Amino acid sequence: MVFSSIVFLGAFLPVVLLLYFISGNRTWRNFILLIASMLFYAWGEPIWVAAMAALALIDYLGGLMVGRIQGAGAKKAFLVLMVILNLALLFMFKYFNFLMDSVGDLVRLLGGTGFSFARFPFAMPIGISFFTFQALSYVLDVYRGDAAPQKNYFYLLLYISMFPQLIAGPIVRYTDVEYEILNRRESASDFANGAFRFCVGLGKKVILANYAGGLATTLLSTNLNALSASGAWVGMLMYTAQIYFDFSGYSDMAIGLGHIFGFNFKENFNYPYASRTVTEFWRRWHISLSSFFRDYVYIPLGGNRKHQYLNILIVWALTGLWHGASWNFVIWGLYYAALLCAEKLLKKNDIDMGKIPFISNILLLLIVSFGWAVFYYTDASQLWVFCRSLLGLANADITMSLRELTAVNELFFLFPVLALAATPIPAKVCNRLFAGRGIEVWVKTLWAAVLLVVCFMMIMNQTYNPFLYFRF
Amino acid sequence: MKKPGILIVVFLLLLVLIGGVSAYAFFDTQTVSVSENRTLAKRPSLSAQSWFSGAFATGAEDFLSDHVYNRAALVSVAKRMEALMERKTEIKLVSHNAADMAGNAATQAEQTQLTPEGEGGGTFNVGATAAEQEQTQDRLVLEDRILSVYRDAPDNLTYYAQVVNKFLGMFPDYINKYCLLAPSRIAFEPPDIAAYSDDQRTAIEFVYGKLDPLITTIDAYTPLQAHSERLDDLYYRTDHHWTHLGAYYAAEAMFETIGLPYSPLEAYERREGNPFLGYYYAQDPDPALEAHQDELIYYLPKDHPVPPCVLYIPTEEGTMETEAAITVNPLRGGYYTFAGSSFAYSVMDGARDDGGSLLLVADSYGNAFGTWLAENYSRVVQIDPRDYVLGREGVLSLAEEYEITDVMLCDYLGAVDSSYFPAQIEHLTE
Repeated sequence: MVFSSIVFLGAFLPVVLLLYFISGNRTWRNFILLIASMLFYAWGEPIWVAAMAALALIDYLGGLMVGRIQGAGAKKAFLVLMVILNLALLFMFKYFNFLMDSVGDLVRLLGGTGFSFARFPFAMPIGISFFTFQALSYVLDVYRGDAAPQKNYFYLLLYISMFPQLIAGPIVRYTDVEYEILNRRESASDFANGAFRFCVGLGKKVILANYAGGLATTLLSTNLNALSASGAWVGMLMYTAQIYFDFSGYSDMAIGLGHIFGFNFKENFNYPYASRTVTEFWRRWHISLSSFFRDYVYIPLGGNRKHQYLNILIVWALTGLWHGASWNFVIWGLYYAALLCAEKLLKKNDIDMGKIPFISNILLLLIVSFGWAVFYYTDASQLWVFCRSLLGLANADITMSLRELTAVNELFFLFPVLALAATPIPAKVCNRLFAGRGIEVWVKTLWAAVLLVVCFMMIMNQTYNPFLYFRF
Repeated sequence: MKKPGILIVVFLLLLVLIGGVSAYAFFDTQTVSVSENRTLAKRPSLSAQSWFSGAFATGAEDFLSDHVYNRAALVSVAKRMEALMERKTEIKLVSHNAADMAGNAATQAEQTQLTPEGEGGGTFNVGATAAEQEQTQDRLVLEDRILSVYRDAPDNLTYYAQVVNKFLGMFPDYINKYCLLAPSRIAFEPPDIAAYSDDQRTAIEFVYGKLDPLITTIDAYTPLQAHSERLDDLYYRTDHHWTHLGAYYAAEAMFETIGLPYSPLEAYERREGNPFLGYYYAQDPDPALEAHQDELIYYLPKDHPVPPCVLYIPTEEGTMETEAAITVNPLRGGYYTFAGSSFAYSVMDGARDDGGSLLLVADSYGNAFGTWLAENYSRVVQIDPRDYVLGREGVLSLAEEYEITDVMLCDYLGAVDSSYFPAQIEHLTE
């Protein structure tokens, strides 16, 4: 199930809200939330919902046991076991076939033959990368003593499976919601702010992301060999827009729903395209993931105290790999590793790229956009064709063909909206005009209503509407 | 935020409204979408198998999406909102999957032929390969019309010629064999528009040059070109088909080529049916085209009744069900006016008692064309290769049953510049 579907908007959410708020009892509300979350996941993964429940059980038992183990060495060994168990599921579903294919390619490259293996036959469950990392964060936080072991399996399952953030994040740390599971207080203010946030996120996804994505696909995938240089640039920028609005829109919806149910999830995006440096960009983009790798991989490896550049390389290779089981994602991660290392080196020599306004913004946008092109093409040969088009070295013209122009003209008046919506300007202007005043609720109500109605109609128009980050 | 209750109430009311509009799905009795020209999703049944396979969830999503209250109107509003994003230009080029373009949603399991009442019969799709589905066809969308763009594909044309030879070669030499390859509208458009398309006359001659010498080729291009100053009378603007008049000129060319007497156009009464927006519009529903609906002009014989025909429609169980129809029925609308729905084959009574018996294998260009052929034959048996699944044995059996004297293939060039449609004809030889 996805948020931007008729089933969710027309059936699931109204029923869940009704059942949730029909009683003020905390146990009842947690029960409803848990059942709803399991149903939400089972809707798309009727079989592998059991795997998620099993993972939660493993971590529940592991969390209880880690507190009882004496000795640092034994505790650490147990942690390693827990990490392996948590990652094993992810590995088998997502990386096993990729690893074996890569080994096979290597063997063939070295002149060998006859490498074959039994492929893991099951498709990757939706959101497995997200809920695996969430579960892992629980284990790690309990190990570190940052969180007490959860004594109720169902509460842990609730944390892992909570439908607002289950399939596409943000990656919520257990410590962030530990208290709220039993002690949160739903309020009208939170409900209203959450509903508004949800509608804004829905608009980002259904209107901005989907249309930008349609154009990106038309330009970047269809007739790649005939892609003009102009078409390549526009396509790349449209994908840049799509991936941001898709993901941040989903995060908005997740955070908004969290507010409705009394949870306060941390922000996951902070206008990343307004950044001036790559370092700043990754403090604003998918914050929950980058902070996960920072806290659980980068710092334990030594952070910036011990072999920093190697640590950056490892973390970003893993970050790339987390995004997809394909070498282009690893290359994408290493691309950012190289850029981050370069920035740090420059900074050590008192050269701060971020100090040059506007130019640094443009440069960063170009860097990030090109990175998304590497992200987009899982086939290296297609990426090569694209790069040649980008530089005007392909067979096609510099200027757009009629087909490309048609596609671009269909969304022509959306472009300034995309550009503006990616900046903090609209939020700042609205806050200045309306925040704290009586008119604020009317403006937000009107805007939320318009977005909800328009998106509902657009959803029907667009039929099936999966989220971009589903492949994680 | 002060008074958050206002936003909460509105939000919840809207959710309830959306829920109500969606819940209407369980009461909606519509089975087809007239505006989208397709079957609407059926309510899925819940079982352990359907749940664990994911079919129920997918089916439920499709079902709700398809049956919300006033869906067509809501989608229409959405299209208008989409149009707000657009910078209007005089000319646009859009692309579609070729397997969808042969007048049939080939990638879907079913396509329903529509009557004005919204009821229709099901058809059986012989399927398209993945490669066929990946082929695209381009359309030019102008202010008042949509044109399919012909792209030269020598390999596909050669394949079509081979298939024509193979199919017609199934019949003994004493059977008269014909092939008519019709150009599409863009061939006769002003030069600046026609320039977007490759030359169709050359392509047609290329195909004809590869056909068996025993096959009589029919030049429909020349007579259509001769009347092209009235292009809107020959071809529809929002549909890829020729009109009844366009088909008449092609039939006239055929009769002249093979030496059959035929009635002039004045022997027919010109009638007007309901305006409509055609197949191309359904796929690219540009609101601007709604002001330029196609006229339905059809011709009925003055001196004898319109011949009846029987449609043979395959069922999901693999049998054939029959449906009585008349060959020209304006109540059906659009190109469905002629010879009715998508069917496996039809048997049309001809106007002549002493005429031959024609087996016509055609794409949807055959629908209007066949009605003129019936004027000079005793019987016309028309096969749609996309829906006829009985193969060679079935075809030869039909030919024997109806004592076929003439066999003809009629297609338009847009159907054969991809490999999809020729592949369907090739199925008839297997």
